Amino acid sequence: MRLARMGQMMPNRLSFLRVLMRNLAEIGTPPERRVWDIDADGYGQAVYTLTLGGYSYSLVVFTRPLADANRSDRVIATAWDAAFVLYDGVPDAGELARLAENVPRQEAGTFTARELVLSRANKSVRLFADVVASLRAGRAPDADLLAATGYLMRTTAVYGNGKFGIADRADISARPGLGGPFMAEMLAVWLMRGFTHDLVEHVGGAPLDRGLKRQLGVGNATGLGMAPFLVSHPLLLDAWFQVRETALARVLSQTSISEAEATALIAAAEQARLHLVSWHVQDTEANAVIRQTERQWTAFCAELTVGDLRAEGGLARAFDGLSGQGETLEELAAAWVIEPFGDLVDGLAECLATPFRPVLDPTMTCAALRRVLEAHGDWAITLDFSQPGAVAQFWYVSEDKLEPRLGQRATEPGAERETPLDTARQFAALYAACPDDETPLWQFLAAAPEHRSAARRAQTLVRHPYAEVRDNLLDAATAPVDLLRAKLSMFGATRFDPKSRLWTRVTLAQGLPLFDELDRPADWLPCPVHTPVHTPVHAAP
Amino acid sequence: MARAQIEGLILRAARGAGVDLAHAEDVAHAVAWWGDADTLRDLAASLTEDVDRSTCRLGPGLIDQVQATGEVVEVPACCSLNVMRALCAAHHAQGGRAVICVADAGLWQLSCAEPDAPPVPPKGRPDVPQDVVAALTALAANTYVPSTAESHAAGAGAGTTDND
Repeated sequence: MRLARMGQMMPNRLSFLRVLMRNLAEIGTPPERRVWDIDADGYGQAVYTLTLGGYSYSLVVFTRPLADANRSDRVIATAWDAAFVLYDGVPDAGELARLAENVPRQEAGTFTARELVLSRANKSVRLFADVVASLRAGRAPDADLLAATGYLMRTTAVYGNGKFGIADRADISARPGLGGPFMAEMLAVWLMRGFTHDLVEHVGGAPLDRGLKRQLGVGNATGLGMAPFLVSHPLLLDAWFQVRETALARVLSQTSISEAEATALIAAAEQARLHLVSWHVQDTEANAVIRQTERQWTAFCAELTVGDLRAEGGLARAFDGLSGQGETLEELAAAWVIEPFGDLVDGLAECLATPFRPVLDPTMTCAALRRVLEAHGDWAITLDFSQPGAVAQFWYVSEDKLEPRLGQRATEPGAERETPLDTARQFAALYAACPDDETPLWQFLAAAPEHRSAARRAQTLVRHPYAEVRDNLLDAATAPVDLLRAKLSMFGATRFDPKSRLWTRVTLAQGLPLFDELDRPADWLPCPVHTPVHTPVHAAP
Repeated sequence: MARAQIEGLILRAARGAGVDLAHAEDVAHAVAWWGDADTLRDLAASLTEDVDRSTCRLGPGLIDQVQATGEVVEVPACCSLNVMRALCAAHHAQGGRAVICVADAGLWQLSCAEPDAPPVPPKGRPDVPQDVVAALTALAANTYVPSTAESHAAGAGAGTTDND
């Protein structure tokens, strides 16, 4: 998968939040608010508990006043408006006291295997204040502002899988409903979203309209920390894309579809159109892409008919008609076309996780490995890494609270300590060093162990073609935000709002069922109740 | 410490000690998920004392050799048997050909084993000695880049107000 395509991905019904909602509907119970010790200003603690597959899980929340000067989305922040933990079971008073001591400290706290997910969030100050003021005044909140923001709080990290001493994923991955990737993290996010609704109603002193509330998700600010994961988990990356491509193949191989399915496709297309209409971002280039897609998609929707879709081969014809018009439109179409076909594709969610890691085959010969690189690593071995532009960037971890950063090799110190995300360069170096003869690979690698990682990754591509990001992550033109969008779309994030080439804001769980709506199907893409009329920042080309 | 947390720490420590990436990955996974406190202590000692003759540098390659050739290979005396056993277990559990580490006439050897059910990793968390954590943390720091005013200002999210 190339970065240009990954950077345009959209959530679909196999995104993790959607999978979680189906799990909750099938084997979960609605959350119960067991503790609500929050003062009139919104500060204190709260506990929500639900069951999933027979296990109890609790979201424990701590809120406190935060000076504007300390409100930062960066990893290097040390204080937040709210701190959260997803707890395994129901905490008693002693456990709550322990959590109160540690959870607000986040990375600096001490944690146990009872803690499954650790997170924190800051208020969207303007929207939170506006909604509170509206509720106190007995009037509806500003729907335009609400639609434009989409969340009351924004998370700046959602930690799982053993981080800072919390539970390993392996501790819970066999439990019903939590086997998929990031299920515990998504559960925490969905519960956090419900908490933000309760909090604003509590401080505002009045209930929020259900339709508006449904359109309030949880914001998320994501930077470079998310990018290395895709490189360090090649088999997982492959699983995610294998599932997606299998779903597409199953749907598109149907020679005909029912009237109900065709009608559902047209409804989903309209939903996507409304979503695009409401999706505006400040970044000029990104906004122009969205506007262009809105125009293309609107034209596409106008041509859709139940009859055409139901005709033999009609669905594939409609889908194919969108190909070649750019990755953005193609990615939207790929998400759209599977939307009504849950019976065909939902079971594939079981294949999104993998317990395996790449394994080296040391019995291969060096010549055979070279053939593998030529067949599967051509995107890397043909690059010229002697050109400064090909190695212009380096990824590294800063001593400053271990914040991942991107440096410029020519001008910044630290390249000798770079994080090894240079798979393309490693492939090229391996190809240059590996003899084209019958030397056993194990023998070559015994003398040149620096190539063992690349050899293993190259071999992996034979059976796992989606295991690599097929681009040079050191190149001057590489934008990390493309990696972030790919992973966030797999989570189910929407309203991508790139703030630079290094980071983006998104909304999670927007449009998903509320706590008391587990039986309600989740929306594919959120559409504001009242779609605001925006003046585009710039006209699209 | 969680096992994933230990794995991450060992990976950085091994890289910080100069171990090649794939070897560091193999040892980090094996020791974190298959090792105990003694294994962790052995690992930290080998990384801090003589990394060139450490099990991190030698162990994965030895397993490659045994798996590829079917030969019996002697385990060098400088290698930690605890770490070698962890490497063998992790290798087998991931679907590799079973390689075992056995004693024969006072020498430790690696050899191929009859196909068997993959081993099951131990449950719970290992007790990680604090001095081991300190040693690994110090090595891991070799992979971190000192922050500068410029890099701080150029980080993701820098320069924006989050009071929106």
